[in-house]
Amino acid sequence: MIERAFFYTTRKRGKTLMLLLTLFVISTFVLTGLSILAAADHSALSLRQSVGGSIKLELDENNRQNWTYQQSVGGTLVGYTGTPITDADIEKVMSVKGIHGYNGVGDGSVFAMDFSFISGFSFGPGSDYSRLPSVSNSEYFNYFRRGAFKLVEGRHITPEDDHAVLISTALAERNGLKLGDTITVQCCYDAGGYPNVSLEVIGIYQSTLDDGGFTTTSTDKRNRLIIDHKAMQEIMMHDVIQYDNGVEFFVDDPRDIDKIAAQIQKLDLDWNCFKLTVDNTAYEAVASSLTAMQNMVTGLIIGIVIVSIGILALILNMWIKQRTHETGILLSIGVSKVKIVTQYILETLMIAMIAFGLSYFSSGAIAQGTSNLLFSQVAETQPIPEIETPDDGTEYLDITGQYIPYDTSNMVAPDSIEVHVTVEHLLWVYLLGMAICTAAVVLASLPVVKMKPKNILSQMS
Amino acid sequence: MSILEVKGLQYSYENKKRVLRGINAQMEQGKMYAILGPSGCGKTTLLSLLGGLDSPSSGQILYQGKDIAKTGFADHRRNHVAFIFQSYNLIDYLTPMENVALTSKLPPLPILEQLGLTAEEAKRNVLKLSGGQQQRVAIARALASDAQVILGDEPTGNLDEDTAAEITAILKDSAHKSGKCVVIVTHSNELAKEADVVFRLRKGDLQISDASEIEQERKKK
Repeated sequence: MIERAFFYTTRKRGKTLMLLLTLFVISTFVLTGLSILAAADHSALSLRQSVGGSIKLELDENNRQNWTYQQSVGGTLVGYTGTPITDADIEKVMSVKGIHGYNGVGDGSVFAMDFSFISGFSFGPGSDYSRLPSVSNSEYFNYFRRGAFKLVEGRHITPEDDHAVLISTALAERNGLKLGDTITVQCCYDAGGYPNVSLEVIGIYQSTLDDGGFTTTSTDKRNRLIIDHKAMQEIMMHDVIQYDNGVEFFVDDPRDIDKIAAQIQKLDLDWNCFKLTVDNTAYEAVASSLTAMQNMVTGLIIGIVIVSIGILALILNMWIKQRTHETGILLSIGVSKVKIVTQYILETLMIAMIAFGLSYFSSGAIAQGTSNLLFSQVAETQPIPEIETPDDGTEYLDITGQYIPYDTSNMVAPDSIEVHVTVEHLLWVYLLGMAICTAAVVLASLPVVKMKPKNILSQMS
Repeated sequence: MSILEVKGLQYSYENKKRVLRGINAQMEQGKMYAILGPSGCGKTTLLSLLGGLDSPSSGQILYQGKDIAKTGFADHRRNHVAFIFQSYNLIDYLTPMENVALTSKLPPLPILEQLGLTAEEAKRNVLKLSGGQQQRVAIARALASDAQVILGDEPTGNLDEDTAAEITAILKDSAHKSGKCVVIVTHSNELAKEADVVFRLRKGDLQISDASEIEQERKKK
């Protein structure tokens, strides 16, 4: 049987070549399509990861039971009496699959002791202070994440840092500060008695924001000092780290954000005091563009596969029908139907294996060009996403209550992607291709082998 | 004891036309049988039934006393019978040796040489052989098998007179010297007169014909 299959494929060269070419062209298309699809998926994932998505665990301000309100001369003093967010809570959330990092944000206000802030509109003496956030990982801090700040020198703050600070280029210029210098700050709260705290400049950032005409010293982004939690503890004289502005958890893939949020919600945390807020605004903005891109590529691949299967089935059907005579002869000399069909399958697979192998090289040569053509067309039809400032008043992300706009320049669906035809794709083509070939040969053979040998032979004569 | 026995064999085509109406016959090893009859009388159908290529509407075909419908038509084709067709029916991408090897594990060259093919011809593609040579390959394929019954459907129909005579002699030898039961369906009275027993298929019935009847018909032609 194997011998006969070998003889057929090597001696019926014209037919073998025709099938080889057909399978080669089909597998080249499919392999190219699969590679582009994989590259598009990878690109979409990269884009999703680059725009990110976060889930914020914060104190629930709507639950009034956790807050005390005390009337004083200057207004209402608000105090939190509920459970604070602790490092143990953070650890629990981090154990959920699909989260790759977090950033807890503390809040304070300081005077500059041995340097000066860029002065803004003054409300009178004592207004020359600035609000400063403490962070676990400044890389994940919303200013940096949204592209409003860009680190131009030094490095980001990590949980291991102790008394480190990131300053703006404007503040560094004004005070002649550079990396490694120290600055001294003091908490500006009325209670007084706060210590002077020295901070080492470990990074300098560039603010891309235009604050417009009216800013106070504390709201001017250029005065924003970004420090670590240990420094904040000393500045505010806290016993433990306080995450006043909540903790943001960053997901691997914003597409899964709702599932991850649901899992966090099931954790043993004090949900009377905490609430979760999902922020996938950026993902939502690019999702339509991504979906359009992936739908187009997927549609194309499905089209190619369906047409390929159709053509293949047709050709194999012709291939088998042309062999009705041979089938009749083999049946008449007692060769079993199973052996006859197996021989035809073997022949097809022998040819397919060579064709699929060759398509690895041909698709490698055309995949990048095809992909470039495809993606440039998709990019032309896709608008640049816009993320508007929310108007419902709930999306205040800055510690001063200001909205930080998104830099959308990196959110556009790519107009080209790097396509690589991999061995894994080839294996898929082998696996699927062989299954399709086998099924097509079996289906094409069924009507012939179902016939009585006499009918086959009388048809022939 | 007969090797092949036909009991009450009936066959109708799909259009209900009945061609065989309860045939009975016995065939023995070591003899050559000829089945004569006009075109369309059902000769080839009868041969197909004897060879398990088709199943009868009713009746039985017994091989060594066993009903082939029960032992299996495919098994009957594989182990008991070998066909020789008018159009040779060789596998066209194989050499004569490879065609013979389809039915036998023995070395194919000796039998091909015995039937008049050279070693060089035995290795050529079968389509590069003459009609007579192709028919010799088909006979070699049938003889090389273990089958005790050789069924020939107009085996000399496409051959010239001399070659037909040679092929007839080979078939006769297969019966008389190799002990096979050879059953030939033919129009040819020349071939039929070489047979040990001649059956005549008329209006769906099979009757033994005597030699004088055949001789008379031959003279008429």
